[in-house]
Amino acid sequence: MKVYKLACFSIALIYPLLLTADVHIVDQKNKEFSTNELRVKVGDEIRFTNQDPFFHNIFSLSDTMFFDLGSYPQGEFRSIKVKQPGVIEVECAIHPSMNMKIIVEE
Amino acid sequence: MASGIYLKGLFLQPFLLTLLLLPELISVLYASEDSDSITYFEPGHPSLQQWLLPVPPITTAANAVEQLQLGKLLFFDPRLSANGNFACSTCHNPSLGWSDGLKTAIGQQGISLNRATPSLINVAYNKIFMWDGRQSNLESQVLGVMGAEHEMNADYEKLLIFLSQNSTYRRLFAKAFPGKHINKETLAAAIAQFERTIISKNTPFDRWIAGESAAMSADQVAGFQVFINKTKGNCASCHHPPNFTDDGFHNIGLKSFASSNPDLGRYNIKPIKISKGAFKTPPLRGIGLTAPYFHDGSAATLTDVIDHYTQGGEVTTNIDPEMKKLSLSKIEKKQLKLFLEALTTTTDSYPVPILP
Repeated sequence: MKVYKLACFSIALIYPLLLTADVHIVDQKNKEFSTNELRVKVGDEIRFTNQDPFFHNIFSLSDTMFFDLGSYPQGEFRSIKVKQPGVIEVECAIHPSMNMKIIVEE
Repeated sequence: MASGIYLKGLFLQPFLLTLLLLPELISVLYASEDSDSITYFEPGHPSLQQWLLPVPPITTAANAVEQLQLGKLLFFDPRLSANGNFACSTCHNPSLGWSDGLKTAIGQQGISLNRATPSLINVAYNKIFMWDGRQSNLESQVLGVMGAEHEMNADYEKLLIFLSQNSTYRRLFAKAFPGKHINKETLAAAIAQFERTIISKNTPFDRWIAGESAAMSADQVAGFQVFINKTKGNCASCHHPPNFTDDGFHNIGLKSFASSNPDLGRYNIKPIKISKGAFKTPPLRGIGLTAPYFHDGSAATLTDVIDHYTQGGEVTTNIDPEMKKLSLSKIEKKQLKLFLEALTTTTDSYPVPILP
């Protein structure tokens, strides 16, 4: 019985690991995103972490997903969860040279 | 997995994420402390070399010299404007720090324009152009201003005929752009090429950074410390090395933003909340020559600029998060001003070309 319970408990722990969405981390450092292009799945989460000693901002004017997550200092992050397939152009409103593309697949 | 890290699992995420991010969080904290401790205020110290400007990014085109020589003539030639009385140099006057000394620019027919004329000093290093960043390269900036109704209002069709009929210009274009026509593209390329030669990189600050200890006084060095210290001036948060700009956009809380019809600046290009009332960070070399300051020309002197920042801006609506009241003593403010003065070289007379 103990073994059975342990197995159930383990499955309960692992099951969501297999089913739920991915979390992708994108760093903002030296006024650049850590990647220019990211491929994700619908439902995934993307976290933008500010590693610079000044504020960054995150926004997108894309048709696929329009958002403005505001500005935040070093050590903080903002995140989005993608809900539909398409291409999302992400920018920093403070530093216009910062831009990247997220390709969202089904 | 371009981002380097990705995680699965709803329940384990917070724990795993914390665990996996721990080294990164530590490194962020360490870097923050380190960024202060690694800056040694000694002339020529390696930690200061990030402030040295690289070789000017003048194009390596085969005919670069011929192009900039042609561009210099065009820059000073008022016949490029509709009325024949308005050259690039009318607003970008070398005697006035390649600006015009006015609060805001005056255009054709004496019309007062909304924004101050930006200096062209070190424009070669810019990554984005105009106060609102609506131009992405120097060539398009040149054509935009030349064609603007209240600026040079150039009639390009007539202008290109004039240039083609002028034997000297025809010869110079042929030398600068072999095999190409005289057109808007070559016209803009020549002027932009000339503008890229307007460089300031031998200021007292530059010489001190390079190791010349007598180039800056002790007060100016102290002013530099105030400038980069996040708990003091916090100026370097936006005026980044090496050209004293982050090529970014900030609302610095100017009084004019509280007017009934404020200039929204960058918001007109990128309609994002933080962009409302935000304008491009100007580079600071040559700043001693380019008064008045700010996009609306509202600061007459460097003292006014420092006072504005010390009080954390005048209008706090949508103000940039880096803007905050500064705790600066009278001496520190004076030192900061002295440091800013070390970012300018003495003006030499500038020979204006004889037009063909």
